[in-house]
Amino acid sequence: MSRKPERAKPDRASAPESPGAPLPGWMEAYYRVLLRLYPVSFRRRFGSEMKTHFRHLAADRLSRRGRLRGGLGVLWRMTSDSLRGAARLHWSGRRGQPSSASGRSPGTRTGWLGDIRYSLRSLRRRPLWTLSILLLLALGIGANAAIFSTARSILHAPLPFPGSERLMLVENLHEGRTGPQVAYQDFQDIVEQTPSLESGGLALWYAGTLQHHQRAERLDGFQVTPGFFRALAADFALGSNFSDQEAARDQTVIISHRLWQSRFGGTPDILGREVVIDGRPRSVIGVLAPGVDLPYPRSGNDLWLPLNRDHQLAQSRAVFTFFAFVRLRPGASLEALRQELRTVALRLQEAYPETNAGRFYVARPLLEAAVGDVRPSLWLLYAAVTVLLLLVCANVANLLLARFSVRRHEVALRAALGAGRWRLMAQFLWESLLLSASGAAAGLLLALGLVRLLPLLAPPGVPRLEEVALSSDVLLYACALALLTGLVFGLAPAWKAGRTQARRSLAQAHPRGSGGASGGLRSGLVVAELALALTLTVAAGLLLTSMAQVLNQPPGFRVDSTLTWRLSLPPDQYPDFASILDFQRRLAEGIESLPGARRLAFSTSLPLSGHDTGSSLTIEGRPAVPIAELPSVRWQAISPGGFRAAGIQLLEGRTFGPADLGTQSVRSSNSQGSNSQGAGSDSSDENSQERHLVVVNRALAERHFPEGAIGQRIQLGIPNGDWHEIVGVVGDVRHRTLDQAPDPRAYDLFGQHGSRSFFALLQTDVPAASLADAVRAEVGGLDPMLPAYDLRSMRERVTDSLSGRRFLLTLLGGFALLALVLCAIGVYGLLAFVVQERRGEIGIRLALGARPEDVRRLMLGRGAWLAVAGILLGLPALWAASRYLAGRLYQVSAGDPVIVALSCLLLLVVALTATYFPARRASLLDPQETLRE
Amino acid sequence: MAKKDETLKPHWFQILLALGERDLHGLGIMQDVLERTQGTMHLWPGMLYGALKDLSERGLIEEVEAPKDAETGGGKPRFYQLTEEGRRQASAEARKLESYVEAARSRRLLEQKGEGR
Repeated sequence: MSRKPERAKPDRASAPESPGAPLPGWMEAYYRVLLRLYPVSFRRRFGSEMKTHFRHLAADRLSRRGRLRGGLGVLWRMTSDSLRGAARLHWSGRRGQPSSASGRSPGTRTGWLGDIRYSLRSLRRRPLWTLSILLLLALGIGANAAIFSTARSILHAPLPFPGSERLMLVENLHEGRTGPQVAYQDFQDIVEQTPSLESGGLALWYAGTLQHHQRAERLDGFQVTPGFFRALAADFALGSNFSDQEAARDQTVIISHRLWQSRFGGTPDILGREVVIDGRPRSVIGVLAPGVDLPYPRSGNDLWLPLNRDHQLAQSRAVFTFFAFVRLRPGASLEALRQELRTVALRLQEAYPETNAGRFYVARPLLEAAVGDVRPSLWLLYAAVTVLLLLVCANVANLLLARFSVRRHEVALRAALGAGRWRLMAQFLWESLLLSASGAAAGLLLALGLVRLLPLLAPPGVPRLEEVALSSDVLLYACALALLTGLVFGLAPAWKAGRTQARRSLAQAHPRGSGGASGGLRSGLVVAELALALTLTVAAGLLLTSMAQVLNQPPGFRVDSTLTWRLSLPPDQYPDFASILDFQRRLAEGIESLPGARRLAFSTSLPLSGHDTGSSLTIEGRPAVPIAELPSVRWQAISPGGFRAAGIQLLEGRTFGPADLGTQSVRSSNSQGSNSQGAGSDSSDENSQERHLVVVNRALAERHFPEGAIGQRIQLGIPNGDWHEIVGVVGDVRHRTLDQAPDPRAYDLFGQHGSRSFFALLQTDVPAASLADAVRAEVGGLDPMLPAYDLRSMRERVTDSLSGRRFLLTLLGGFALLALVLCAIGVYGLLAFVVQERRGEIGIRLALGARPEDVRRLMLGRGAWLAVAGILLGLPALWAASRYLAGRLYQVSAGDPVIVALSCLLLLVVALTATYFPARRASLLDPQETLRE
Repeated sequence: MAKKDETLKPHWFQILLALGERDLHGLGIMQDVLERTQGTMHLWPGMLYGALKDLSERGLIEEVEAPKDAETGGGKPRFYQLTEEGRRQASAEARKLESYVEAARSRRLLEQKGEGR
């Protein structure tokens, strides 16, 4: 048949029109990048035409649909078109001629350099395949290195003090319970009588208001003895530690480097300057070196005030409120210290039986105290991210195997041309090592970014976050990981390559040939992936359930419509309770008249504020016991109306009313462990004839007064005070965290006891946060030098208290999701491969009368079998994984059958969904066509 | 050895159809196809030039000298024409389609539009 002679000449309409509007430069640049995806030969041949084509299309779209919609549409179209087109070309190129166009077989080239060059070329020839492996590896290794370096920096890096491994914390142990704090005088005896100790010092919670340049700022810190900085061997940027005389006079302060820089502009004449803290002038005698801070019990400290034996909390051996830091002598062991502490404690028990009976002192490394709480979470994260890395390795190994089965022909050819078995193995190993090394390099870059990102995402309260950095051992670690993954997933293909028998393979030289043997290995890998994913899914499910359980707990107080903040009144302006109560009354008048504000109350402590006070309990009419054996309860003072403002339920009797305060005597707090500097210690107007009232919670009533609490009388604190009559029982409040059962708790009337540092709690009719500015203005209006700090809605406090759980859950959930996606890819890849391999067989089945459904069922069965095998393999792994979860769970057991069953089901669904597409393709095969192949 | 890929994909057929009338370059083919399919078949560059490469390799089309008076809008695009084999396969495909249309007609799917079963 001849061509039509009257071929029309190309006319105007078919010629490309020159684009109307010029394209944005970045669009062209982007398309140039996309063009790089195509094979070089193709690009050379069509590149310039494709660019013209693109310009034409893009200009047309932009003019018709506008810059934004048109531009986005073009980008999307071009990206998908290029990815698809390039992938197809690479794929079809792969099925073409193998390696040696030059006629020289690379297999016969000598030297490993040749091998590497050949590997590089072979990787470059399939940029998409290579890129996807690199991405997977970078993700796996990057996430792993990031978590590893975070864990390592937090858990193992030395604290920023010289000889920090010799720093210990001394704690008291009573009736099997460790309390982090010790009594002042006990500690003095300990330091004197313990030979293993080089030095030691005490620290007491402190927070003060710094007044500077007409601005008041609330700052955290500690009151410390001179021995404290000596024990830490802390570096000073300027000045030095308190001398004993300075400590005794209590007119000086040491500040942090951060405060010096931020508030005093880093001026060198800061030494000797007077600053006003809590309304009292103090001269600065030292500035700590940058980064010097306590890692425990609280970091972020700016003020260090002197502490001496005249402090009122230092007077009794029954007040355990000081943190004790000690330094071991060089060469002394922790074991020896523990022995000596035991000896001293026994001596103290004998000398002061009233307070010290049964009390021991124990020591543990400061680093351990600082990071012990986050260790399980970090290990859990590390375990999870390692599981993810294993999954990535299995996936990559699968990709390599898949590629190997496509390259059998090439391998067979090279074997036939004389390449030795070892040579072929080396070839594949080089390739996977190159891949994993580049993957590790990319992963390291990713880790660098993640390590910067993690501190921003991490929940508050994680210690030493600012010290997290990639270190040289992380580099080593990444290299080791790379080598390991390279070897692990390079070995299988290499082994196969080595075993290839030239004749057989060449005989089945069809590039799609049956790589039956590698199918088994690939199935094994996919099963392993499913098993690994199961552990992550179950872990995420358990954490999710725990979170739901925690949220389901009634907190015992109102969460919404409640605004809270703290106030600390300086002792000089507010010398007694009368002035404090007067301030509170005036503040309440001002704030309650704000639109949207309903009721203002005050309390020495708030749920989830991280602030709580303990006290011992004495019950009238019960046999007397030594102080050391008195039961302990939680204690707080609350203003009249406080229960209603906080939404705490009254169960029995009554709460405090305003009238109670009028008839009450006002006296000092003698409870232990108060954060304040003994507010109201100089209170006036004692009248012990008056009735003292107290309200207790249900936990206290049930534990100590099963016969009924109302009307009973108790003493709080050291048993020398007044008897308090219980007038009401209120509901339990989850005070410390939402997942800890409520402790027995007694509520005093604020005014009867209390402190200068207290919380304000405002019940609102409008969203709580909207009143924040008005509240600040009101407080500032009463006293401009008084900051309302820690100002947050109750909802925020609840959210923050759950942030640790949420962080773990988010990361683990993300890992689990990623794991499922990787599994889906793995199952899909394997099944697609199986379908491809068994085309002939499926064709015969179909030709012999099998229905498409039968074929589909056959393939789905294969997917289900994989999932079941993965689940069976994963169940024992779950058991091993459960110990990492212990302690992170709440009201759900690590082996919860419902969650395990749901996770298995989810895995099955994922596997079957991934199977469905290849199965469908198999069932739609044309038997004639497959049989003809 | 016959390959599955050698059945004519819809866009291949359209390209052959476009070249059935006259020699065209890539952009011209795209426009011809777009017009004939009333805007439903866009040949994006990756798809189009990939197909042109495949069709050339299979000997269904071949490159020709650009006509002297061709307007190209800059550059020097390649022009393509149908080969004997290309023409044969295109008409085979067209006959196949025609037989389907016949079948549809005999089942009265074409005359009574919108009344389909």
